[in-house]
Amino acid sequence: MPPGLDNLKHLVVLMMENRSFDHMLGGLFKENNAIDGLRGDESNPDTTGKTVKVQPKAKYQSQLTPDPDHDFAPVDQQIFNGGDVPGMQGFIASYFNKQRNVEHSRNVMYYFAPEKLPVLTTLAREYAVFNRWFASIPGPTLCNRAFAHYGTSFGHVGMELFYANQKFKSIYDRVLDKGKLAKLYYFDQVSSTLEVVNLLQNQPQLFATYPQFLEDCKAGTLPDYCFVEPNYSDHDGPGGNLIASDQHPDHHVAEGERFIASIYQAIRKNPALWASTALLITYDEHGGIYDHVPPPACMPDGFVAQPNATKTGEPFHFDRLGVRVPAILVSPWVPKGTVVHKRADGTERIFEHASIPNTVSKWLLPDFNDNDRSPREAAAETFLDLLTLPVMRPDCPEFTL
Amino acid sequence: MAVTKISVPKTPKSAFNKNRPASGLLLAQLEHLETASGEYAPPRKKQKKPLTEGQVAARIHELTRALHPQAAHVPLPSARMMSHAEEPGALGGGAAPAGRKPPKKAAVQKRGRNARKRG
Repeated sequence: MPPGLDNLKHLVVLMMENRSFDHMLGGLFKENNAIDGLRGDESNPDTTGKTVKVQPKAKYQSQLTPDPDHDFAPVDQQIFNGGDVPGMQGFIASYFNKQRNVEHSRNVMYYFAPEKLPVLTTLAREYAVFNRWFASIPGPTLCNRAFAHYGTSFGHVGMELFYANQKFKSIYDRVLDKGKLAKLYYFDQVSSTLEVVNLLQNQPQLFATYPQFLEDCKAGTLPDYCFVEPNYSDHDGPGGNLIASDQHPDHHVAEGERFIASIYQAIRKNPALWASTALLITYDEHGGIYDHVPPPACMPDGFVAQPNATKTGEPFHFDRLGVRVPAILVSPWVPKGTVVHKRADGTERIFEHASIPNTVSKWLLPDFNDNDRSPREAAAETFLDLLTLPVMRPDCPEFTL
Repeated sequence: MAVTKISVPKTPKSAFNKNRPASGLLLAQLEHLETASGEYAPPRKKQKKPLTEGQVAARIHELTRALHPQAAHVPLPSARMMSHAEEPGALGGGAAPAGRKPPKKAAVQKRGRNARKRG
């Protein structure tokens, strides 16, 4: 076993909100063409028929309001644009439907110049960035987050309430059942968690807050596996205003950068924790913002969403993924500048949110029965093999906040 | 070996706007919390004015506190806490007083389901 994996004691997953890979990291192609970002000639037609190319004009705030649609049917339009081929040509048309403003609808084609995102782009350059990490469903937040917690959404493609008492246990239940520790850290009680009905209602002992995460990092008492949620709302705090850090439009993207850096620093500053922890940073879905890579097919999870749920007139068999999102694996055991794309035989390594519970299961619960989780999760790619270095890196950067 | 230190810019104070209309995600989160608390009642008529992010957050706070009292004893996050992620104990916003009164219920209306649910 590689020493990084041998030393691994903690896996931390931070899931942000609603940004596509190209929007956040697409600009890195120009400095490293192994990163499958933007060449500059990618485009979508607007509703006047004009070709609109991608441009590095994304702003931190006030550019994507109203929020681009990302329910199942609008995402279907973004990917297929009314046809049968996933050409990724319907993003502007979809956003136009929101406000019927041609000029404004072009904003979904804008991406960030790398220097505007010093945290995310530094982590992508320094550690492992995934060229093929996709949302699990071409749809909104909660069904996608469900894949990170359960390896399936139990047939849901929207924001429905109940996944509890289903046939597959959450990754937290599975870890606890084996006598190991798992936790979800939400920001505070004003922001709360998006895993409300299914876990908070029934298992409040699984939860803690961001200040507790910081304390646990300092004390070296992180659980084996934990999932971190950002601040979902602008609200008042004890020392002043607390700005939302989830990066969901129209929340300020720079505050999300600061939040990501704070999670990294909390781990980085404890030497023993840094040596024994891997941090995965990803986004739940693309939020209606352009990405150029068509989502691939995937292993069906055995459920079917009916046409009244998809609102496309067609059922959905959970046999293809959602739009690509940023994902970065951070560890001092990951070689600098790793770009995760293809295996030695040339086939693509395709990741999605079900990769998270599968990775945790394979790592912490190697005897876990595949019949006790979704076929999708059991088939999902895992990522801890990326901790390949024989010696820990001494040159990992730090952030000053 | 020298370690590179990267300075992360501060977010401008103008980014804060708790009066923006609450997103579909926050409204869905609130509905889930109300359901979990047994307090959800579908609105009888469409609300004229959408709830703000601040209003929804206050209601979420109230409901989460009831569902998850275990978190009441830990320090609340402060605006400065992220700047000192390596030393949270020194800069926490101070422990929340046990039994602190929840926000007045009347200050927050129950939300209407007049927005599409989105994440």
